[in-house]
Amino acid sequence: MDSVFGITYKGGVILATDQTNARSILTYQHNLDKITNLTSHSAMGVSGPNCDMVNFTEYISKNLQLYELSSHGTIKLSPYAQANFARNELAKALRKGPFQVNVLLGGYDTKKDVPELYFMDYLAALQKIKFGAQGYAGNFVLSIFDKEYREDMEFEAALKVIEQCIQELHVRFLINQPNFIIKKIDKDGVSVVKFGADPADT
Amino acid sequence: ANKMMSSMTMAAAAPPTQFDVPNVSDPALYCRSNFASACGNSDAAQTVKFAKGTTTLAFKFNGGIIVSVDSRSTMGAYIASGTVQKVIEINPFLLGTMAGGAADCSFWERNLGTQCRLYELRNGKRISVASASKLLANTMSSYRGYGLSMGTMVTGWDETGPQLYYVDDDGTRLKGKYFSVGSGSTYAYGVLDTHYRDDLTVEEAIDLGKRAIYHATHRDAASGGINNLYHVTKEGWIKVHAIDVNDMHYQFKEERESGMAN
Repeated sequence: MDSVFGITYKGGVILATDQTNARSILTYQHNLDKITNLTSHSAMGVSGPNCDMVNFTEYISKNLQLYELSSHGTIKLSPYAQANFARNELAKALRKGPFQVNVLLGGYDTKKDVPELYFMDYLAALQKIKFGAQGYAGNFVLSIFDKEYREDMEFEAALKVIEQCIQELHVRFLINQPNFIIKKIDKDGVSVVKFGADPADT
Repeated sequence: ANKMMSSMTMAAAAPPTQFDVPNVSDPALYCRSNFASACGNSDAAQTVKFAKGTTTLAFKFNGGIIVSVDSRSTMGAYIASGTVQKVIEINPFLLGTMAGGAADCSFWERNLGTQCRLYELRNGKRISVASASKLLANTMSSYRGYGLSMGTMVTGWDETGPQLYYVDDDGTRLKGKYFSVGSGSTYAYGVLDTHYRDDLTVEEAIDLGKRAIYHATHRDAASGGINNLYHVTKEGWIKVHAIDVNDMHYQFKEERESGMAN
């Protein structure tokens, strides 16, 4: 039931997810942060059961950090490399105990100076995209993206589109997701744009 | 000294690589179809139903943590026991609650206690609540699909202050200010959500914990018995009271009537 969607703009990527964790008819938590920071210039918005979400993101992010540490900071993996690493791990686990996670990986390539967004699903498919969504959210927001997206749009315009998507989900989506967290990844790194409820408020 | 430590380290507390499984061709399927989960009525067709049905809650506030539970154990429509201890005292600073399969909860929380003690011996300090809950969540993760049924809250006071984690049988681990688990949890949330504040006094918090359980036991048939309530502070946990919810019913009724008469 998680909503995950993202869009690239001139100089960065915006990722947005809902903040709800629910089971059956109960909402357990409404301030979850489902966008995990991977390295200094990449993050992953994840949907799926909490267990798989946490295990997969911790595994990928710690291994990416280990790779950079082992090279004494000389090698910084590009978002392309990180996405392929993550996809490979999903593929390896697929026939054993699959991670039931659907992911949008957003990153800023500091060497090529371009933002990149990757769509990755639980069957280990990988696709570079300009904008996209995971889960039921796609049914509602993809048309908004299709209509409003422009090549090289500015940050404010991209954020406006994201907020239009959130508004649409509030109006038309059956599942109540009052809070969304929005993060951007640009040349300065990963930062929180806004959230509905503070993930640190625990 | 470090070398000696590492050679003495055993994997004794880690989940075993060989699990005891039923001697059938597809153990996971067998477990799923014969030991149905705690949610819903999925074990209606089974002769042996798991003991389940409960209300447990825990909340953090400025004066520590309150853990409040009922004590009823049901097997289908039969009340198997009215005096179950649903708060498991893992160690003097860590408490765990029990919801779902009673055997699963008490066994795995006892196992968690073992792992916590080993951590203390190896590291010379008490384990944090975050680590303890992570150990339990990892154990649950490794048994996914095997029909374990456990919804627990791991809580305690460590170096970072009061902590509360919700851990369940599918490996979910959530950090929060308050949770309620069990068939009566929705009723308890009704009272908790309406009256919870960070700045409750200890007396108000105990009263809130008591009332939330009472209201859940009133509406949920699978909850009842005695309200066991614990308070966790920097010095550890103490058991505050064990009050029969029936007595609470008449006491609250009197309060309301005397309030109306005034």
